[in-house]
Amino acid sequence: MGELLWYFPETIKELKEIITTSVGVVPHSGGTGLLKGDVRKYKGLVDLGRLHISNIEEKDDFVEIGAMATYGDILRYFKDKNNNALLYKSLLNAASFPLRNRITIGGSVAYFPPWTDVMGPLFALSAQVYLTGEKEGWYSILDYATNRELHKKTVVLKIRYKKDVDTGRSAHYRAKRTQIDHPAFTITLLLYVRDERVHSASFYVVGTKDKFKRLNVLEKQVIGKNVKEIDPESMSLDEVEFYGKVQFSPEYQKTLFITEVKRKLRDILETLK
Amino acid sequence: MKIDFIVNGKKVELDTNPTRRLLDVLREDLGLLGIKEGCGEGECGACAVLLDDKLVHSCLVPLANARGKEILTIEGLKNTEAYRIIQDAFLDAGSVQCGFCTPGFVMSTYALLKNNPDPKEEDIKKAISGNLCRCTGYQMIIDAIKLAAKRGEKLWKA
Ligand SMILES: Cc1cc2nc3c(=O)[nH]c(=O)nc-3n(C[C@H](O)[C@H](O)[C@H](O)COP(=O)(O)OP(=O)(O)OC[C@H]3O[C@@H](n4cnc5c(N)ncnc54)[C@H](O)[C@@H]3O)c2cc1C
Ligand code: FES
Ligand code: FES
Repeated sequence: MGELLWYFPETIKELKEIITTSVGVVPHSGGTGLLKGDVRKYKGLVDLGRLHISNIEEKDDFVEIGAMATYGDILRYFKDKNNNALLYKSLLNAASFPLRNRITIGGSVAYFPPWTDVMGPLFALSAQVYLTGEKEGWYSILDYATNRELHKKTVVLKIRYKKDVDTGRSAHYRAKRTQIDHPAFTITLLLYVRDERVHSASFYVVGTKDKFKRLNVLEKQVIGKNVKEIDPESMSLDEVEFYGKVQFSPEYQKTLFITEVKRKLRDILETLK
Repeated sequence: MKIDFIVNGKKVELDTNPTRRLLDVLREDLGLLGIKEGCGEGECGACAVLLDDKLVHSCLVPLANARGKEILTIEGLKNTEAYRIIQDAFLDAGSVQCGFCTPGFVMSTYALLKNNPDPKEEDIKKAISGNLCRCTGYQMIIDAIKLAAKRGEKLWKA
């Protein structure tokens, strides 16, 4: 392997300088995505490990997570505080124990593989990402995920979501063959109930042909309804298509999606009755 | 590029390609052959080491990323009481067949018991979720970890 240049910035100013002025240089966070690919296509890698950006804290009305926080750090943070937190539920079974010590939230948001366990929850929580580099400031996770321009010569420094958004009832489903398998797709459901009525809902499937999809059709059928009157079995679902994957055929994923989205919704409703 | 780090308590400085995998550097340059390569993709855990006290797969760590950090391999654990307890438990529970996966499982066991001296079966399964074994069927390994937890109770809780 040819020798790549490595950069070890210790301040955000140094990082910004490297990212905006160098060509073919990309960030290295957990390395779990980078090292499985061909790193020879890059001229250099920027190690983000000396920037002290792995802190997780409640700040004003937000939960703010540094980009270098690993899945393990996030689980440890929520374990005693709030094991109902959507990120806690979704990351608990993501990858394996040693991998969770390496995979970072920043690297996962930037990389966004179809099997990611973090993007569905972050979409549902209407999270925002803070970028530095050629663009500076907070952007919605949806914009960042869909606009490649926002990826050019930028680095994700932190991610945040409103504390009160994570007070709803939630569920995260991973379509996998065995416990250690990465999921073929994930479903994330988050809904809020007031006086027995669903007043808002945020449902996502990640790992589809379009990469991800918000389940608007399903959301519309639950919003405003009394939880006792909702019958997931009789609901029509959004049209969702999958590519064939190592684990499952497109047809099987579709069947699994239909079954599991209804099952997870039913599980949430059961806790409310 | 010159890179310094600590391996099993000893300071090491190497002038080498920083993108090389930690796994290769430990095996080829430092002769630490207890670390194995199974998949090279972060799936099997045969290459597990502790990096700054956290269990990681060394096949997915570039050397540059280990700069200034502390690494513990199975060789560094070998002369400790913790190792003796884990080794005996693995032998007594019959959890070693071909043995290729064993160093990785020993590192995972050590990482678990250091932080959770009294693990439930579910905790054990989670802790070894990054290790694959083609021979034993896992139950004997789970039994060995329970045994190591019990026999080393005082040590893990100290
Ligand atoms: C065997 C295996 C199983 C896995 N299973 C799962 C699973 O079940 N669930 C799951 O959620 N994930 C899983 N993953 C992790 C997932 O596949 C990605 O590897 C991971 O999300 C990437 O995060 P990272 O921190 O390692 O990023 P890196 O590998 O460091 O980087 C990935 C990409 O993002 C860029 N990048 C990194 N950090 C930033 C930043 N801060 N700002 C901008 N760009 C950045 C890099 O330049 C690179 O292009 C698994 C990985 C492996 C190896
Ligand atoms: S060789 Fe590293 S996990 Fe298999
Ligand atoms: S004992 Fe042979 S792979 Fe585990």
